[in-house]
Amino acid sequence: MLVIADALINVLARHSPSDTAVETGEQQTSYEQLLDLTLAIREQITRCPAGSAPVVVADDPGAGACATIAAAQTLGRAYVPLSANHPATRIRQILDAVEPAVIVQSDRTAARMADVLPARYPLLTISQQLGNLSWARSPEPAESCVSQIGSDIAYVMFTSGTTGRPKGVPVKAKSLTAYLDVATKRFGVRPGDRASHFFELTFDLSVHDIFVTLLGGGTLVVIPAEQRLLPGRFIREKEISHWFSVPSAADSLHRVGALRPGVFPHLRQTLFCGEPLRWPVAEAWQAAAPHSRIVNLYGPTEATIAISEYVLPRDGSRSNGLYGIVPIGQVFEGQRGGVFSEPDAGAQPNRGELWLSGSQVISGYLDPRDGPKAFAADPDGSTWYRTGDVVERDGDGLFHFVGRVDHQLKISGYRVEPAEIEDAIHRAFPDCRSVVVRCDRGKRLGLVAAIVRAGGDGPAASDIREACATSLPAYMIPAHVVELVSWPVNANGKIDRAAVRRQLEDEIAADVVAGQGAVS
Amino acid sequence: MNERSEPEIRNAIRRIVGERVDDVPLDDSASLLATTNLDSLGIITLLVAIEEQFNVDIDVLTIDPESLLSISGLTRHLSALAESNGG
Repeated sequence: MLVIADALINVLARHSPSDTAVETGEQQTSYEQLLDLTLAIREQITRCPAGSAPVVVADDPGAGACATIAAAQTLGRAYVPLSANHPATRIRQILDAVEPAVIVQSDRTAARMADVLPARYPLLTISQQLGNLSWARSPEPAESCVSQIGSDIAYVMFTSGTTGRPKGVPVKAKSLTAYLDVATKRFGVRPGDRASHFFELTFDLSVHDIFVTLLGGGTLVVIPAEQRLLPGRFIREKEISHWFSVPSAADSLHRVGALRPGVFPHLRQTLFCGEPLRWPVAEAWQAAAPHSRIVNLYGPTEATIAISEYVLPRDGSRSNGLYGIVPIGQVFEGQRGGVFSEPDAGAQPNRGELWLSGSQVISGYLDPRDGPKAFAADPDGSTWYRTGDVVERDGDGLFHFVGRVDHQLKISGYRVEPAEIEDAIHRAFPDCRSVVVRCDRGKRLGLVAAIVRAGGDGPAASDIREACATSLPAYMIPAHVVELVSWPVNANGKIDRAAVRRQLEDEIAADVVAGQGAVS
Repeated sequence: MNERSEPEIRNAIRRIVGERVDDVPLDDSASLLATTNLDSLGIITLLVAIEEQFNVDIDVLTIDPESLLSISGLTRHLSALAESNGG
């Protein structure tokens, strides 16, 4: 089995020094340059006295971020990614939660972050020319702070939480090692391969991009942010051989008719993860990339990148199709997945919430107040993570994604807790009650906030969106805001979220009252 | 595609965009993703609507995806398509 602490840096040194490790636009960074940069960053980080406290990566994807992550790993320190595109409030919430030893940024992100990063943390800047490091703020911290994140943690990702602030998911080095052990064997890249770097660093699937590509000696090709929406030209021009993205990217290309047969002749492997993959999209992708095998991966951040897989049959059959969605398949060997259903619910025995256990599964959140019910102890001493995903297990033992037990939504693969958005709206406009849903049909697609106000003039849609933008990342800002006169309610007098969604999807006029109930 | 002048194309695109965004002033050169409430799905459905209304294929495999994000970029692209069809 691979050992990550120290392994990555040794592996970097073993690859052919002149091979390109990371390609960002016209800039190519060789394995030799990446190793030198990693060693230089490591040396600077050791000047920060804060024990094993984490290293915050406040950078866009690229060679600098890869080197910073590799440096942190070799020092046995966790890394925590920050996006320069996220609002200041969210960035400060994350920094408060992790108390890093140092923040590493690049001169590409420095201007965007200048007014956001608190002065009390040491701040190291990597210049565009790479290799040129400078301390924007002294490596001696302004005040001593204690991080609760130990050297057993590889990285911490923050996802949407139901408590009105982001939820920290600490992933141990041993969990990352377990994942990489599977991934490098099953989905590995080799020297000469060109693998996509599609995911932002704050999305845990980026960990796969970086580690699997660099461990294998391939070239990590960073997609420019403005090409993520429709990545077809990027795949062709960059002659990508290994593609990994959310299914939305394929779905978008499919909708605009770009997945024509044979348009991706260089692709040999395609991985999808993060949201349901629809069969028609998978089939169109297979036709566009005839030499590629396609694997549908599944895994919450809490189970380290991905924990189950389904390899699509090359003969075009979809005998395993349920609900028009590609199965999420079987959990990796050594990991455990079980279907749990309430005994009195009268449900089918093969259908229920997916629980996960094993070396890839975390044992708890950074803040224990986040989701105390998300974890369950097994009599054998192991921990089960309750995913909240409803699955059905078919006769072949394959899991199929069916839906959620709660209100969590997915937007381009990002987890979105409606409660976090509703809380942001309520804080800005105390007279407004809101319900946020995802609409898949009708005129308003994507995240839609329905609001009902207690009295007086309500805020305009743009006011609501602006209020959300002060604390939430862009993917959590509702695309549409619709004012309802009152809420549809269920038999218990509670707001019926499904009915709200149906109203919005059916394009019933915003001021039509459907249902006479009061707000619960 | 019907013969249309560039200003006509621009106005038609502005109208299709206007039907889909909140009531905000439209800046022709700005990214619709950055300056309106259109999200990625909104942009995709906009492109499909433009393809249908102009009866054209926008080939996203050959043109710069960034140029599809602004009214100016879309106008340029559709004008070029009209010219090549007309000529």
